[in-house]
Amino acid sequence: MLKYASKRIIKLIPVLLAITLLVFTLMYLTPGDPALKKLTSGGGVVTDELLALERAEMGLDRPFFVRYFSWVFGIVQGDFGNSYVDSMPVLPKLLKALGYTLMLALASTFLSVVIAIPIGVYTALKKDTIFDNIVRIFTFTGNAMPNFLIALLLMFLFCIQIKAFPVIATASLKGMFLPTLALSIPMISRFARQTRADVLSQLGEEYVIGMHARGVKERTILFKNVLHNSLGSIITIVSLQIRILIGGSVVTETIFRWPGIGSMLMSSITGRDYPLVQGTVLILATLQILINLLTDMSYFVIDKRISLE
Amino acid sequence: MEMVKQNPAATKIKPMLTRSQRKHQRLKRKTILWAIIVSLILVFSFFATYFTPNDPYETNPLAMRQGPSAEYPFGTDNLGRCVYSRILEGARTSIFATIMLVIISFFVGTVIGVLCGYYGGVVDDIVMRFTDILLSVPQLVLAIAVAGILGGSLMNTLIAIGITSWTSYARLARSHAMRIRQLPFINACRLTGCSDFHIIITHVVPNLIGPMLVNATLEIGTTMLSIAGLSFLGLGVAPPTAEWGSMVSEARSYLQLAPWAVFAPALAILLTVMLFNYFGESVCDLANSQEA
Amino acid sequence: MLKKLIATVLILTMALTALTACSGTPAQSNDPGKSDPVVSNDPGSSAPEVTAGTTALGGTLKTVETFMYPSLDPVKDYYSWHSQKYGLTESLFRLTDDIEVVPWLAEGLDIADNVATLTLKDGVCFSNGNPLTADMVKRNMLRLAENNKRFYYLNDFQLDVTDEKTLVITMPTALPTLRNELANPEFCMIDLDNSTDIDNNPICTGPFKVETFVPEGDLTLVRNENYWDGDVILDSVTFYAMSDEQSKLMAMQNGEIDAYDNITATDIEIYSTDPAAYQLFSVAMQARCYMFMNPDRLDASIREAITLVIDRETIAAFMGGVLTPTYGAFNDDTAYGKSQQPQMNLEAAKAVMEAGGYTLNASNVYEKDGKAIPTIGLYCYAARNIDKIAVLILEQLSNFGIPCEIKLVEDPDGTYMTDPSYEFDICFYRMTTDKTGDPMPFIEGVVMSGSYQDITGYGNAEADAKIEELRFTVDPAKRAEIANDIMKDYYAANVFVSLLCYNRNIVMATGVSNFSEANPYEYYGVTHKTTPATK
Repeated sequence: MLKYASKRIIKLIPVLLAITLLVFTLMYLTPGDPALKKLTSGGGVVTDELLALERAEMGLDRPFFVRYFSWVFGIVQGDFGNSYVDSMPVLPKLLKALGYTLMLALASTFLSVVIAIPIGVYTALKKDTIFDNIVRIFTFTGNAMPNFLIALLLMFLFCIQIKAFPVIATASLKGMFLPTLALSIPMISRFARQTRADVLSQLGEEYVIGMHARGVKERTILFKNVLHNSLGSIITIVSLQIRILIGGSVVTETIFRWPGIGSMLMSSITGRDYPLVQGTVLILATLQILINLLTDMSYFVIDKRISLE
Repeated sequence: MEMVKQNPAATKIKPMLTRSQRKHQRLKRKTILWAIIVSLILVFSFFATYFTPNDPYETNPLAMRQGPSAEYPFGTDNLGRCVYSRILEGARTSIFATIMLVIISFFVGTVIGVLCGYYGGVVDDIVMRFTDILLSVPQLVLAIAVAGILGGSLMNTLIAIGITSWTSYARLARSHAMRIRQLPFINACRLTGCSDFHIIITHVVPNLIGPMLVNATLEIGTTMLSIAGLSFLGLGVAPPTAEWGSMVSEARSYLQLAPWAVFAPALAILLTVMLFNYFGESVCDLANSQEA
Repeated sequence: MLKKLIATVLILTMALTALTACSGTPAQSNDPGKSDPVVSNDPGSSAPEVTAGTTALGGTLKTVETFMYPSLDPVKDYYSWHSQKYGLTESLFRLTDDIEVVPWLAEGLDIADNVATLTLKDGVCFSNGNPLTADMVKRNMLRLAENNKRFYYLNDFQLDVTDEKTLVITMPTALPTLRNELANPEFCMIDLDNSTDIDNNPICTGPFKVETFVPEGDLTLVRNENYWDGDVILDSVTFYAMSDEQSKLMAMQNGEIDAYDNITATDIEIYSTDPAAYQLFSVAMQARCYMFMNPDRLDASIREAITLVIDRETIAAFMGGVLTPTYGAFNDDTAYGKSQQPQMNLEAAKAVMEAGGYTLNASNVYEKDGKAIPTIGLYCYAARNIDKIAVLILEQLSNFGIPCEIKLVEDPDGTYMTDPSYEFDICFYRMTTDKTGDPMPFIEGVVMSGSYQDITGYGNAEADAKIEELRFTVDPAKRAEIANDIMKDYYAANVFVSLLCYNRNIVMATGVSNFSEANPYEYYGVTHKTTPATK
């Protein structure tokens, strides 16, 4: 397994290189000039001389490959460049925002898994009962409701009605509660439904019926076999949701003033802050690939028959 | 259950059926019923635009943000337009665009995922590294590039979202296929000389189709909302075209004054997701019973 | 099964209705007996001037800012616009509520041809008590020239300190608008000798000084005990970084903040229901939304008709106090804003179309020689209500008989403003048209041939000659006359339509006053006279 992991980590390098080229090209092809963006941000008048000066300073007057390679060489030396917008180094900014986002991501994933899996299993066992149908309504609502609505309703409930939290939150443990909850609600809904479906498809399989026939205890079948066999796809779903979480949620972050990576990425994309966009994508990509690696390895841990090669 | 009770004749005609066969029959009928409901919705969404009580595009400064009334069943929006009429008008775009996107990415993703999971090896490795790359590029970066390079149209929006959305189905289908191919009965099939194609179609796919479908139906709502999330890039539908997702996000700014303008289209999305999910789950049940 | 479904739907509907009912009731307190019928929208009726002598000192003010920046250094980008709003920095001159340039840190400026003599007010000092000297002004100006591209032109100036309070500025050519230039917030003064960390704690002349600053986060300022212009009423001011409009609304309703600006039309409607708790102010800013028409794709009669069809009053009515109709690039009460565009006149528009050989066909579309007008593309972007304005214009033009469709782009500067392959028919843009009380920046940036916004190809030698004349004219009356002449020709070409002026809308809790609520410029905010909310 270690061999497998190290092999995969070596493969990380070409994949990351491909990502750098892809992102760089995408941003290059996207219409919009960072220099122009910067100059028009205050709503003032732009002249050609100003634009030329700004472009020269940002290095935008150089050819595509010169820009690409100087960026990649910088990264190799640990230099992610400076932001086009505020000229500050990209990396510290990025890591700070990422830290905040990861805090939220981990907390809400944990909360969702802990709540959703028991609900999913229980609704599968009690299929088509009143309980199942009530949960169904909640999970559908949680899943189809827009993020901003969940966040604003939570804020209305907890800050205005109950007054348990201030509207103007701080990036602290207390301030984490509402955004975590806002991110968890759709995920709980998603995981619960997926778990229910997975467990149901297992319950119908021959081996379960066979075990029932042999008089194996319900509980043993459920935990030893059914849940165990469903774990792979549950982990996959969780890993796919984490992808969305580590990218940060723009809506949740802006509503709760959470200084995460989502709103930073959003403003850096619309502001054409290439170094910041590229740096962010690269860091997120690395994380994403590591998560995929862990997911693949978990299949093996769950079921030893699955070969990793 | 109700269906069976309502049709005592059906049980009388076939008294020789086993219990599991009867269950299978019942699930089959249930699935057909849901299929009919879903197709009715699709048909209705196509013609809904002819049943609008008001002009969905006519603005009216005297009727801004009015609550539900006889004239405007779901109230009016910020520009005094009838929310109910706009929901009907937008049904076609919203439902068709989303369903098309979900079906295509579901199909492509599942096929690729099953093949990767079943065969493994070099191809699996290459395809999965490719999904790694695609999954790493934030949706917004892709969308902004697509909008800039290809221009903004509904088709291009579907491309922008579709480029990455199949990968999640692929990873999910792969995880199922990897598990299923290790099961003893698959090995037994192989030993009896079944072709891989036969095994995939008759054993692997039925085993994973249920959870996959449930996942796909849950994607419908998210997709509808994410199409709207890209509208500021010029993707999605051009204003003032009615479309549920953009109605929801546009009405966000006046949520306190006219909550109906958010809740009515949100409810339409919710109902669509629910109906499709019921359909998905009934197919799931059917697949499970077939397996048994 | 169906029964179950219906039940499910019912329960769901009820649940959502309950939610709707909750969120539909904003947290507005208050007995109806207290309701004050009129909401002050008139700057004139703002709270009476409170003098330090009669008001007790003390109290705090909490407000929010949509964007907070990573640094407080005013020479960077547009950061000075914010540091001045915070009550931290002050410029040499300032613009009054009536867009007049008056001295602030400066005492006066005498311009004689290309030599200007700047004198400083006596008694102006930094928050550490050090007096502001002419030498410090010179060093600040040089620092600005070095660090901000928009002020590179200062490098050609010769700055001579003649005494403690006098600076002689020698310019390469006469700059009649120097006084207006010096009213830019960038011309603020920092104690460069004693500021150890300009990014986080610059020592400036304003009524407040930095207490805590989180880059891109919250900022708290406390009273500058050494303020040169009298007592500072507030103990402290806090600016929270908050970009979501709904969160701001709830924070205000919850009493967590006392005032903020740039509120939306919905917010205005919500706050105006409770005049006992909130004061509302609205003042037209100099930022305008306007559109360009492409003469290569739209013929003269269509363009002229369009200028007559657009109903700015209705658009403004939809936008509930956020936008005000405008018929020119400059306010019509300025000397240089006397040329204006025509009001809506559908009859005249019809006459123009008919004179151009167009007739209305059966499907209410104008046609010429049996060919209907092709659908016109309205290029716009989704910011600052521009997409909504475009939707309304689309409806007005379509109803008139000119079919349109909206083409939304993410970034106008990256697309139709710079890329000729975007063959726009009509496109929208937004800019502060009158930044310093002078017409030159607009004319130079929009009307002059080859300028950034001369995307309609209007620019011509005749206009350029007039612009050159304006550039070197010192007499304000003569300047106004030339500017009016240039703008009259520009409007007559029907390539530019000034649509709406953005309003600066401010909400303040009862008791708050002197928050620059009547000033049309966004870069004024907290002053030494700002008072706290009465709790």
